[in-house]
Amino acid sequence: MRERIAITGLGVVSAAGADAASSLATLRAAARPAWVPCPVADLPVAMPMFAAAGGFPAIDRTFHLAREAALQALRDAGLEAPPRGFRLGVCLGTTVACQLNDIDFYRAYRTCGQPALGAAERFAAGGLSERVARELGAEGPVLTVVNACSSGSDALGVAISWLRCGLCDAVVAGGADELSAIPASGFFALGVTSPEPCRPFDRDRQGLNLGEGAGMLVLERASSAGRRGRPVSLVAAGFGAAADGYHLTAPHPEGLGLELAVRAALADAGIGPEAIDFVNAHGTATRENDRIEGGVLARVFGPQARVVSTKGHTGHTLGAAGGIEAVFTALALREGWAPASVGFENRDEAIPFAPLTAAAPVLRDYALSTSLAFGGNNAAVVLGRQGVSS
Amino acid sequence: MNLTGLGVVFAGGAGVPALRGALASGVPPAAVPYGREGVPALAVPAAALAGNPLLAPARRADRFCKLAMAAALEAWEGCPADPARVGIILATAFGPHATVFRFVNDMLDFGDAKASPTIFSQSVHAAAASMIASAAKIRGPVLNLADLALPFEEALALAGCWLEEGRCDAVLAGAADELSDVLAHVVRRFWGDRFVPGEGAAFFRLERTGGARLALGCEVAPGAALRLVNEGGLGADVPVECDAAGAEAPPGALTPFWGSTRLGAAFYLAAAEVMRRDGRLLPGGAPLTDGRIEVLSACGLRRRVIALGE
Repeated sequence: MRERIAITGLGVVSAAGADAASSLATLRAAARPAWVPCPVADLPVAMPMFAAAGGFPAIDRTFHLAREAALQALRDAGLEAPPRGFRLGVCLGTTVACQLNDIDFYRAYRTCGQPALGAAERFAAGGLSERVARELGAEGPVLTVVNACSSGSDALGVAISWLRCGLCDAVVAGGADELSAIPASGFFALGVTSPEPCRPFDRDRQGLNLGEGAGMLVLERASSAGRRGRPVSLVAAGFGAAADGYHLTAPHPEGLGLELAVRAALADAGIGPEAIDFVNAHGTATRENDRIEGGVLARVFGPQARVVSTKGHTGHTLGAAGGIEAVFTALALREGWAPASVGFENRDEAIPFAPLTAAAPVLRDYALSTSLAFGGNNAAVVLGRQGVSS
Repeated sequence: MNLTGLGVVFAGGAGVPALRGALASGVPPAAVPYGREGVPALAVPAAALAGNPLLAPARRADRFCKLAMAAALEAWEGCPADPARVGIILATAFGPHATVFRFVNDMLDFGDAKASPTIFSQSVHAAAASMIASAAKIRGPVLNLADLALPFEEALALAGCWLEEGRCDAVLAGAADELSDVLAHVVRRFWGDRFVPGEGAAFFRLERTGGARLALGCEVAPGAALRLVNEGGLGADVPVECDAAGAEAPPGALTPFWGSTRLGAAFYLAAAEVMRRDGRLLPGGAPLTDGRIEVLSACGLRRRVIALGE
């Protein structure tokens, strides 16, 4: 029998809150956080964006978001000062922080050929996970996942693999991303942004809003948690990922890769669809994503599927989304209620279900978080709560 | 895990025969003036990509995609595994950054609202592996990772996990990076002429059986038939101290064949596999005794040893 992977720490920063407690309050109130017109690019419409709560510097912002969420998660896990010889891994997903994409630097390069090298020096300081690992003094494996919008979920999958294969004792895993002009301009060019606050799964949804933040989980071998005297109340039960192999930006029309990923995650967890209480869906509020994802979730879980998208609270935080949404899912399991989908009003007949419109009690022990990404990457994570059988 | 397939593209050309030929000749490809500043660099020749039949599905892809695809699809050829049970892991340091800058060119020239959606979609790190998956009809997990210290070694370690867990029956794991004007400029500003930057890709098909055994660790072991030390990686590496007996090539001896990158271990492993297959030391051609070939890399306080063969 495989050893269980415990979730011993949670950390989160987003527009929904500067930590887990404030995020829970926002989710419980089913209130849409304040948003701002796009502050990072000059666009002809007031594209709403969701900035992270709390004060974070503009320079190196993704690193600071990641560092804050990681420290929160480690404090929650009682691992601020890991014991000697403790192998702590770091696996974070991102999209913005993996690119030398400083526009001022590049503008100066184009103009004068001799730009100040500050941006290049910051980039050369290391990948996001490498920098966070150095900050934490982590001695285990380090890897930065750059799978576009599924990066955070995929990072959790890497962490599960590392732990099962004994490469480390615990992993800080999740994702982080900041608001940036390049994705703002790119998503606008693709025509998938909404001029109003997003409405996941709604009949009249117009597209996504970008957001920023970080979400981190400390995943730990249950034996390690036991040695440290930490109770195991939440588990990362399974992970699945699959490729559409279809198109760079559009999901497979039937959601082939997503369905493979969801079924793989359930099989990895050793459970059937009936064990899942609710799905925290990718739910970006683009026309195609929600229709295709809705179809897959209905095929796997039936038209009675209980589905929520928390992007109405955070915007689409890209590489951070999988991490933030896994934290929200874990909090929901722990607290015993699933949050509402903010922004949903009208049922879309092309989607076989309506998402949750009010907080609902969690009656079963497992929940699923899904992510879809550019490139046709799909990822699904099964989380469970105390009482689940190993 | 076992290494069962290899693909490579580098300044000497595309394909394992090109690598074998370059190593056997003992003459590294000549550096050429690159970019608007004419920085000496080891760029992949246009002919290696333009005439490559493996790239037929990638006619419109950017250079980074083509580099990765050329190597990955060569390593993929003949794989008996069900594509639904095959994964891809692509490691990079800088990703498709030339395409990112093309997108930024659009933003600067035409405004934030008028940049090209096509260029944007190719500028994400996930694009190359996605195109590999599409071309090979692979439906398993696809992972892109980007770090500056030992990213290829982490990719190999994760591939081993996927095979051990039963998540995949085969994994295409590799590394790719491209040159650009900006990268050449930064290399020159940071290090002067200390490094000759390079580009290319190397991919490895990994399975549970067949081919040659491949293992990762942190320490060298006595008795290696050959030890290759990856040095010369754009300032990333630190001298690797070897304290175990074994035939050792001079540190960084092969780096001039592909140039300085943060992914040198992938090219060193490709060279090691060619030597293992041929049973001879390259360059030189001296017989290579049976046994393990080790590839050593170090960055900061981290050190990795890739052991190929028993």
